[in-house]
Amino acid sequence: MPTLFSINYKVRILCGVAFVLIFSHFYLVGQSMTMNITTPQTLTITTGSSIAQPSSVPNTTCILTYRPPAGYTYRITVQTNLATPKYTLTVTTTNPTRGTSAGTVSLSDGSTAAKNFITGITRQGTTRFTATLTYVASAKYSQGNTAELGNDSHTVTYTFLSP
Amino acid sequence: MKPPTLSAEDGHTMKRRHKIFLILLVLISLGSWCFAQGRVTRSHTVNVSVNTLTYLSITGSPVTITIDAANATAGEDAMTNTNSSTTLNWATNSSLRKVTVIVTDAALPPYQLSVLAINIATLDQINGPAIAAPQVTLSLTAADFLTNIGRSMGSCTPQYTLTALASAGIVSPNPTEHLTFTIQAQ
Repeated sequence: MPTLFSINYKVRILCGVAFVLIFSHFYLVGQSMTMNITTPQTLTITTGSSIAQPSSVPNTTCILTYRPPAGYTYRITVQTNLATPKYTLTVTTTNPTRGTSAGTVSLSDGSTAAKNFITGITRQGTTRFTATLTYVASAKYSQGNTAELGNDSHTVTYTFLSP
Repeated sequence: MKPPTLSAEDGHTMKRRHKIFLILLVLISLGSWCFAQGRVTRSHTVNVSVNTLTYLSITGSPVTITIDAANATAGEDAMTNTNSSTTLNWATNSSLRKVTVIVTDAALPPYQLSVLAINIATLDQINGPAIAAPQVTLSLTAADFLTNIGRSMGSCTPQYTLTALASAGIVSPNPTEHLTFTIQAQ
């Protein structure tokens, strides 16, 4: 009677490959990036003057923590789900402890596509790296106010991936 | 009881099923492995709100307007002089505002003072442009000075015109008139 133990060697090899892949999956997931990003308070634009546009409002309360798997150079992208923002929002990081900042990224240009945020990330032992997120909200008078137009709510997604 | 036996054909079918199952297992594992290699995502919510902001300022005050011999014409009782030395700046992120002007003294002086908005300039105008109201004779009742102001920042020059009658004689001491400009919903 044929059983699992009586099948030919090709099938046994397939079993072995499946086991290795499943094991490596959990291993890699275990050592992949972890991102602890707290949600910032609402960025509220509160002041201006009769001869200047309203003052922009920064927020630096969020920290991105990441640890790449070994073997490749990784990058982190950022994107928003808000395709029609009313106000201006940018995010940047100036001090990633691993990788290179891609500079200021606009989250209010009408694009929901992912944009590079930190590039050139390589593994260094088991070190977890960090980057402080600096969000800056701004609005011109012509862009209106929340009482008349409502606020902007961005779901900002950071993606850790290989190039 | 005799256990059931499999025919050779049943055995081949079972082998084939084992192979298909294992190939599927490998494919799923491979996809999972690629996912683990490929990407991890994290999201959070960022809200942006903007307060209602409205500002109004005047530069160049106080204004002194003097009527002297140069403003007098032989045979005419009325004498006039103008002043355009001040600038009124506004900024608002609300729609459809206007600016009014009112004399805030207890009584009017013995002459006529009027004002007209000229040199209107706006930046990033939405729902505009601002429109100058007809020349306003200043009084104790608020009157429109600028209308149709949209979400914008801008400036204009209040052109004051002082009219005095020669028959009224000399006004002494020089009176002071306090004006208040207000930006409000139209």
